[in-house]
Amino acid sequence: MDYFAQQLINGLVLGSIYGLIAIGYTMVYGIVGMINFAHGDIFMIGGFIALISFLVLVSLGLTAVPLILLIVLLVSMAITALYGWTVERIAYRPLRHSFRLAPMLSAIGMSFVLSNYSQVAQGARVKPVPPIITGGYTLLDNEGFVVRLSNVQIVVVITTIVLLAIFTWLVARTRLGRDMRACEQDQTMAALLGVDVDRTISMTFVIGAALAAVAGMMYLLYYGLVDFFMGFVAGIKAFTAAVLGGIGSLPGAMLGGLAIGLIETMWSAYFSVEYKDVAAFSILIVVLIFMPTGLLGRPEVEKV
Amino acid sequence: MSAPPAAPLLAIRSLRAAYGKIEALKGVDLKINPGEIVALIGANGAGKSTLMMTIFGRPHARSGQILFDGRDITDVPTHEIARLRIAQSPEGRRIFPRMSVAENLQMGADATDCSEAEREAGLERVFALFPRLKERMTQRGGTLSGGEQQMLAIGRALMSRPRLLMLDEPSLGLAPLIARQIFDAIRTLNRQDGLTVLIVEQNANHALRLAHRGYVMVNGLITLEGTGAELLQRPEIRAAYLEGGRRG
Repeated sequence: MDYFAQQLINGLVLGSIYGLIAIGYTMVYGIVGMINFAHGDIFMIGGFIALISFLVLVSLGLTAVPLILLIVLLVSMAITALYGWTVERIAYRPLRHSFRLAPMLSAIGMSFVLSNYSQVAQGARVKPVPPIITGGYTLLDNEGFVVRLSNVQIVVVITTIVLLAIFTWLVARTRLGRDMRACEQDQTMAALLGVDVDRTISMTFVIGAALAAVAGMMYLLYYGLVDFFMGFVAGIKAFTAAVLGGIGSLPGAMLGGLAIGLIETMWSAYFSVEYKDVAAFSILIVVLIFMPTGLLGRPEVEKV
Repeated sequence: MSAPPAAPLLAIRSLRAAYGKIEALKGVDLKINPGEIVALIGANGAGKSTLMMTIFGRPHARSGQILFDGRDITDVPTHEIARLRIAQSPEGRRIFPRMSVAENLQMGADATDCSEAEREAGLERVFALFPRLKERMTQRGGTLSGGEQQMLAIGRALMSRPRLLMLDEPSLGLAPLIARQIFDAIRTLNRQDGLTVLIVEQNANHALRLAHRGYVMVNGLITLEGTGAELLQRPEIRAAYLEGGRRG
């Protein structure tokens, strides 16, 4: 039971990170109908920018950890958002009215461009950082078996919850959110109602990239390292999470992220670490056999 | 009708448009004066809906000119045309199925950046015309009946306080009673607020009775124009659009 509780905590933390990335996949799919394969690398870029801005702040002599974290968060969100915007602008928008596969191929290309660019600019070695947030709480101490909730884990989960709340409010209540949903449902009609569709799509990429940057920073804090290749596996996992939750569904992305995080952690804990990816993808296949639109997805057919 | 209108609100000159290689508009001339209801009638595939969409730049005109209030809008992007307060209730209604009725109406209000007071007034006006919508405010658009969706599409267009309202087949698929209700609403808007309306209709009889003037479109060209009453008397109109079914 104690062991299970500990794994539950670990799984939720990992799931939060996946969920934040998965939202970017599902939003872009909803609005332009493509899988943005470069999104995992945007997450990686976010991790690097968090690392760089952290080092810069420390070398400037800043010591207040909460202040550093806040600045790092905002800076990496802003710069990564710029990356997201640029990728859409140069690699996807020119192909928007091309054949369906074109933007997807372009996305795979962008994925290589971004990871190779990081490799060239930052080197291929894994970049470790010393633990930034230390300490934690011992929830249970049962004859030597300890259930711990570390401060990093608390930070990751709370940051995720706060950002999701802001994001949900933005989509449900603001004009931008309404415009995004309008574009998702009927782009032509949205344009007839004065919505600048190109701008709205750009904003979707910007928001998705900003959330991926948060995930990148959380990854850096939690695992204490980044490398140029980390976007690939994390991206595939988050994409799986988005599909599992029902691609196009925002709550689905978060739910899928948590599910993948928990499955992976539990499998590693009770069976074997080597096969944790197999477990995650197998569950995806099983779910898709019985629920082809994912957990919270809706069928393509609309009642007219 | 009051004083004779000085300049047309909308003027279309030898407009051509195509979908790929298929030419849908082959040089259309049409004008709408302020305060007028103009009906556009014609068979399926004549290009009526295309004309409405081309005014919004979708598809973009191949050649020709579209002037709104004296300004050339042929090359203005679609979303900016909506800001000029041209509103359309398009073919197929195209309401947002996964938005509430309230949000659908808000999308209309957003089109022209109206103030809070204007938005309230707009809602009052829409509810006065279609009280049914008021009861359905929190319901998702996709769950409405066909007639209610039509009301919502028109209501959404009205929320943008249009200077020109374009209605594509507002009576399509509706029970006669509801169709009449919608035609009455259009007449009321025109008489009370001086709203200028372009209406495309299959139901030529209704449309021409409602309209001040009408145009008949055949294969991407305007073949006839005249006042509503004149067109109703034309034997070829009667044969093609009014009694065609019976004479066979």
